[in-house]
Amino acid sequence: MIRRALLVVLALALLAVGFTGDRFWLQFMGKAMIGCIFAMSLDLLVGYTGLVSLAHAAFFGISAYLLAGLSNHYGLVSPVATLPICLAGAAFAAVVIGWLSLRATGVYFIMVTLAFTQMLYYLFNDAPGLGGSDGLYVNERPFSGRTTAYFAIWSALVIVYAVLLRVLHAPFGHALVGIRVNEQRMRSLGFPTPRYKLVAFVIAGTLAGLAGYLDAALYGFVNPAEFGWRQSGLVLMTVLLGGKGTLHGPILGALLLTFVEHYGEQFTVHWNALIGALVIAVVLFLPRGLAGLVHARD
Amino acid sequence: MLETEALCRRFGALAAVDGVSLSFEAGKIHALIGPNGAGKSTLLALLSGELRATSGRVRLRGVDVTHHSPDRLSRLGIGRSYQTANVFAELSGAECVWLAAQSRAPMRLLSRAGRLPGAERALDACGLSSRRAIRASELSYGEQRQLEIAMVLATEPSLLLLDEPLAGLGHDEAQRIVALLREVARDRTMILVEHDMDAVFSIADTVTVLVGGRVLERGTPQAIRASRAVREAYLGEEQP
Repeated sequence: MIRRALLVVLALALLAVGFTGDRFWLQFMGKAMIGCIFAMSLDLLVGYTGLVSLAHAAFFGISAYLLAGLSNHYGLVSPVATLPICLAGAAFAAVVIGWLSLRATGVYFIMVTLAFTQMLYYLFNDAPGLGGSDGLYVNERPFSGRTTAYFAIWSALVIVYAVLLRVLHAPFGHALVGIRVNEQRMRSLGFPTPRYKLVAFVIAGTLAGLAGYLDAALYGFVNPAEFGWRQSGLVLMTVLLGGKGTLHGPILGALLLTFVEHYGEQFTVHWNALIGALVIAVVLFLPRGLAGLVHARD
Repeated sequence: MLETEALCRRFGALAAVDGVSLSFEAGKIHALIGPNGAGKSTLLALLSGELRATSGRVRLRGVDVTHHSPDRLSRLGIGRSYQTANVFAELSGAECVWLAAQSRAPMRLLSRAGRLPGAERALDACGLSSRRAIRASELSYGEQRQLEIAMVLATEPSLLLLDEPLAGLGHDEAQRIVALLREVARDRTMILVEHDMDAVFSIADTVTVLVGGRVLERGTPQAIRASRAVREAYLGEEQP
């Protein structure tokens, strides 16, 4: 009950930021909400299905670059046209990467997904036609103005939360949890678990693509670092900090990391060490992440 | 119902199942017995698709299913339970059975589950209706074994593979499970691995004795009890 109330308050507070029109806060909280979508999408794999994927940045980056390509080369800007294409691109990449990497399990799955994301990083980093290491500007953005972009991101966050909540309460979501707990048992009960895992991988990849699309739309710039292992590692850390296996955990983790990153940067040049210390502290003292604090009071 | 033909499974130099050819008649309770390491559980794992055979064939109703996956075999009507209670500890009894019954429905991404009469029947059949809301981890071990059988029944199998369903149970709980197995086997075929000889001889129609991965003897419980070879190789250990 407390959790629901807090989430509603948080959603309204985020909505209110949109009416301030303040350039800094629109960009800052927009970035934080994109982080929430990205982290929630990964949590479908890590927290619910038990798949630790390091390929998640790939879908974020593919979608962002697709938007840049559509805008710069084909003059396609409207979200009605670009969003479905970018999401389809991310979904297609997730089908291919998922189909291949889900043949491996455990640490081998992690390594295969890492290999895919690094391959894409070097492909985009070394290809001058794709902007090379400098990246690309999105010449014309899908949303006119920061405020419109902010409300689009807010709407996307609310929709993603609602859709994931529905998916997790549907038989499909229960099956994913069963797979995480005991895949052998699920198979012997008749669940085609490889198919379930692939569908989860594609849903998560598509939502990561949505985060990448919104990021490119907000900043008007894409670069190969969006594919890198650091990006995949950071979103994984977000999930762990917030609390895997919950939807509100990744939201809390993304908000916290965005603030720590921004204000830590002003405080010290070693702000990355701050994040490291935070992760160690949470793992040691809050094994269920920040979400554990909410549960304890719920 | 189910046949194996020269079925082998090797682990390096060890032949855990070595040229086993058996036929399991429909509607009967078949027990597999033998000393530890005889290959009983390996044979069950081969029949349920969890292990790949090194050579040989498995046929279900005349169809070659040797290389079928466990989920495909389950959907063909083979249900499987394990040596230890293999339930979902965080879920309630009803949720565990409900989840198992979902395996027969198409994948539903967004819609809620419809009514699942099979799940209700399975809970009733296993005497767990009054314990449906209790978390699986809080049920007694005997009840967890009942729940495991209920989960298998919720998938509406025609053939049950049960691996030591009485392991770790006290006398009263074991009696309850034996009664349940009798009830469950009324309209199903059952292949049972079990060390409790009293239970095996009281409920099995045929008994197969495995030793060193091979079939030593096969027959009715009375014939197996009377077999000198079986007494020397296995039962003799318990009846000096």
